Amino acid sequence: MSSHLLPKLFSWIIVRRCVDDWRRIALLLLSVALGVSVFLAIVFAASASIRSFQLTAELFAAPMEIRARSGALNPEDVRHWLPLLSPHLELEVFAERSAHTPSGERFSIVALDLLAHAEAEGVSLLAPDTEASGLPVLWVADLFFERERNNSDFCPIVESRTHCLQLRELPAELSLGRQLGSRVAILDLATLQAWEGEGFSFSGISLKSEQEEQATLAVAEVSDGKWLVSTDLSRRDRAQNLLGAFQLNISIMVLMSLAVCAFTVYNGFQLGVRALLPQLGVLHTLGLPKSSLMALVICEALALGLLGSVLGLSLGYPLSEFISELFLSTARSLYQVRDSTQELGLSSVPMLYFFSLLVGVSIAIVGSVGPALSTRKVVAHIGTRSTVVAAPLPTFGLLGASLVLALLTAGALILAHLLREALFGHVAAFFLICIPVALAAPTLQAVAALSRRLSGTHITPALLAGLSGVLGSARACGVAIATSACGLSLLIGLGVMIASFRHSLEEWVNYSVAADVFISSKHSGQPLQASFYDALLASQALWQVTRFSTQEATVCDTKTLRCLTVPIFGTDIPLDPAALPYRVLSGQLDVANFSAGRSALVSESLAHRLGVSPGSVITLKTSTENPSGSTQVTISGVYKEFSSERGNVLLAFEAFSNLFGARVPTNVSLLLNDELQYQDAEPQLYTLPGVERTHIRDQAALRAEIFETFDRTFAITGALRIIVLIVCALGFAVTLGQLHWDRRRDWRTLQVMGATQSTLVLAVLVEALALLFPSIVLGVPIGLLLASLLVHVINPLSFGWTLFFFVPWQALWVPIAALFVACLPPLLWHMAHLQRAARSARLSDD
Amino acid sequence: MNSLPVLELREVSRAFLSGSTTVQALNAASLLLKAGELVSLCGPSGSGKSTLLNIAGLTDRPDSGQVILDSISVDFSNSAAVTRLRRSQIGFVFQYFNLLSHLSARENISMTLLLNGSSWAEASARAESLLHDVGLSHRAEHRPHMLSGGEMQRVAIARALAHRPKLILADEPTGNLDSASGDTVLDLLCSAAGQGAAVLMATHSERAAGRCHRTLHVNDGTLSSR
Repeated sequence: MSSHLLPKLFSWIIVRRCVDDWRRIALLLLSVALGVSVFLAIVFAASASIRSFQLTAELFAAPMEIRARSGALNPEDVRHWLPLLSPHLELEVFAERSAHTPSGERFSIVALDLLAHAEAEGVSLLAPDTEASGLPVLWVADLFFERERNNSDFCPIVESRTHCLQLRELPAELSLGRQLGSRVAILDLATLQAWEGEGFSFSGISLKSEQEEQATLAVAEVSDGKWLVSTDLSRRDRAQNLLGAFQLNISIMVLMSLAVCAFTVYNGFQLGVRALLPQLGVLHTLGLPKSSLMALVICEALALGLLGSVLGLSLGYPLSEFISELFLSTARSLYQVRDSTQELGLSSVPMLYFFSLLVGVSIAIVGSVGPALSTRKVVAHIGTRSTVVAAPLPTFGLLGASLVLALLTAGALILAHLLREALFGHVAAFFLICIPVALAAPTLQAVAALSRRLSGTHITPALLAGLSGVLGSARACGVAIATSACGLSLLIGLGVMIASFRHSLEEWVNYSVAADVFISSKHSGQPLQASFYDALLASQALWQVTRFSTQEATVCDTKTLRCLTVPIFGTDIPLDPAALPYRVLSGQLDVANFSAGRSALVSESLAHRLGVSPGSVITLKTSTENPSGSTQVTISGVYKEFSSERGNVLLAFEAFSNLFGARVPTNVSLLLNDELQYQDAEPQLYTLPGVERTHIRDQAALRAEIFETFDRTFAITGALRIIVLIVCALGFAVTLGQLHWDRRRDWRTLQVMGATQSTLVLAVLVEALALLFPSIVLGVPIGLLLASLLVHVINPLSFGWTLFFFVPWQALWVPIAALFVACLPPLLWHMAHLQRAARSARLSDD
Repeated sequence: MNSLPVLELREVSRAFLSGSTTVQALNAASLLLKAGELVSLCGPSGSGKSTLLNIAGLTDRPDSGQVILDSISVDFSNSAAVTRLRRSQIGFVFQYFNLLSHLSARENISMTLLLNGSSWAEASARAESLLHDVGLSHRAEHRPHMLSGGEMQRVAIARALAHRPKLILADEPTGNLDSASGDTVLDLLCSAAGQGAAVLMATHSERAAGRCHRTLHVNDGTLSSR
């Protein structure tokens, strides 16, 4: 056949096939479109939300600030020292106050010298109506108006006093060097000073981050160590950790979705080529070489890839909007600020369309290579008949591959253990997840053979037809099983890990949040009002006070000289060790040395990050009140703690107080006397002087706050789990649909032979169960192993946390039930098709 | 011949809508088929043979007329009863064999029996016996794609005979076979008729029609015997 006729012949065959076999082609198009739309949606949503997370992380990476080592900046100190620092540094004093709206919603007020800003930038801040109202203006970003109306009178409670203000949107051209969210408002410094009079104090002095080194030296020299240059590391670290975890999750999602789609397309082409074999045989008999047969299949894949991609792009657009919104709403909930990605629409990333098109064509071609190669089996045959000869499954090869994967998993785990590197834990998890891919078809064969054996002489037509159907398409079914088993194991793994985490947190909260009332300063990290604290101590007949203070400091391992900046906690420890609200995991609390400040406890996270253990000596870089500026303590024990993955050091309160010069704690907890209830104690607490600057919560409120934070943090994982389920379910549904279409002639023959609708429906159910059962047989143990790996290897290596391995039934049955539910649409379609076929059953072939 | 009637069609008509045109596929066709009879059904393509076979096989319902199978007047409105009747009383042989592709030869034959409520052991034993009768004992575990056309048709006949139906409907059973395989298939159908089944065979082959007791002709939907 002359080569110039081939394109014409190919086009003719492909077009006619699309018309005649439109259902199969539709399924193939759907597979490609599914792949493209999921790719487009997830990649776009991922890039948009990662960008959003980055912007939000920048928000959280607070600018460099000069803060007092303890408490607020004394106005006298500011007056004296600021002129000394100003010639060298670009500085701006500010004051932060907490406030809440009349409806009780909390927000922060930052007081700045706005007039100086406006003057420097040539922006007019005053508006005629402002002057007319006579009320001070509270400047807010447009985000704030999600809560309140613009230009309205607004009377928030600021530090327990109500002030009426006029809300105005901050001019966009005024650059304050700080981002405003929906919970931050700006006030002119002069207004705040007027309100507070004698009691006014500055919270800090902001400076440019590039001046950090210069500032640190100058501030230490000028302030004699009373001030320090710092950033809010905990917030920045938290944001960065979340971003890292989010990016990892997204990458897994994209890869998994693409794999599912490639598998589905492979299945479609495999079944399609099988149906086409007789015609290919005719073409080969007529003289078309085998290479052209392969080319025909690849050309068809190319055409379907292009068509499917175009369809996928149109499907992907709304899907990307949906997933993007899902991610971003979680991000908003996490950070409580509106995202900055509104302008990052899908049209802003035209290259993504091109890549999606490329992905669609690629998955179609990759999926068709195996089926194209199978055309080599076509033989020239006069009077060609169906020569559907499926190559036997390489069962031993697949079992060997799964053994290799298991060995690789074990190897990666050994490396993770030896090198104490979480990366190898992730590699082990990857290999583990791949095991179902190799084991799917052999498991299907084993399960089907076992079912046949167990049914013995009681085999029914439905069982025979259903089981033989899946066994006859073991390759295609294996792919569906591998997909759903991977998805199931991922869902179970993540579900059990989160449940284990929550369970561990509950256990920790149970003993560490045991007091009745928890009181902290409204300014995070600031000491309580001295008058309030003294009044609390004076009422010790009503409650027992446990003091707690926190201070950021640098901790170094004296052996390795490795240093980290972490929170140092100082607290009272009970005389009865059984009542200790800290669970010592290794080492032993030596009360005498602990109380004397010679020993400390460190949290698991810090022990992990710094590589220290009981008996190690650490250096705490403290205030200049300690002549050397640092002190050395021995670690007497490592305790369990989940408040921060950065880790912390726990000292006796007296020792902490001596080291950091802080008499008044930042927090206290009250254990109420037996006859006193919180409801009775609360009014008394609110009569104490200085209570307006404190934040009082009962045990239940604090616990609820801890769990709310946890649940918010893991909400993103919930969204990802839903997407994993959707992708797996769609892959599963398309495979079931393709299997059904491939066997339509068998179903019709059975109907003519007298199989009832119920028999056929049962056969379909057997087929679906034969696919689901191996998925569960593989997915559940692999999921539990994955959870175990996450809990026992990756979490300790990444965060230094020891978690309880806790498997709630819900983490198992919900994903399994979801997989069953995912089977329903193709099953119902299948049954509806059988019903239609029953009405048109014919003896003749077509 | 003094055998009992197995299938009777009385004034059966069937029309199809083809686009906007109504095609009268079968026009008041009547037929009586007795046990042990081997009857061929001849006629050009599109004459109505397949329609007649579909109605006789209870896979299609006539627009008018009556179908009586084994002395039972078929009520086409009761689809469950129709399916039951078809399953128990009729065996089918298709031109393209229509073996279930994922089942072995033995399982294909057993399926008919299982559908009729036999146990696996009974079905398996009967399948073995039938495979022996059609000379394919050595192919019992082979799947359809491993069999030749003649072998597949022999398995299909064994499947049609498995539940000892009173009526066997064969649609061009030799149409896809070489003459030697065709002869074997015709021998098996004759043998089935010899054992008391009524066999109605649609065919274009004069050679096949020549082996039958009588021949019916369908032309433009009208059935006649010559």
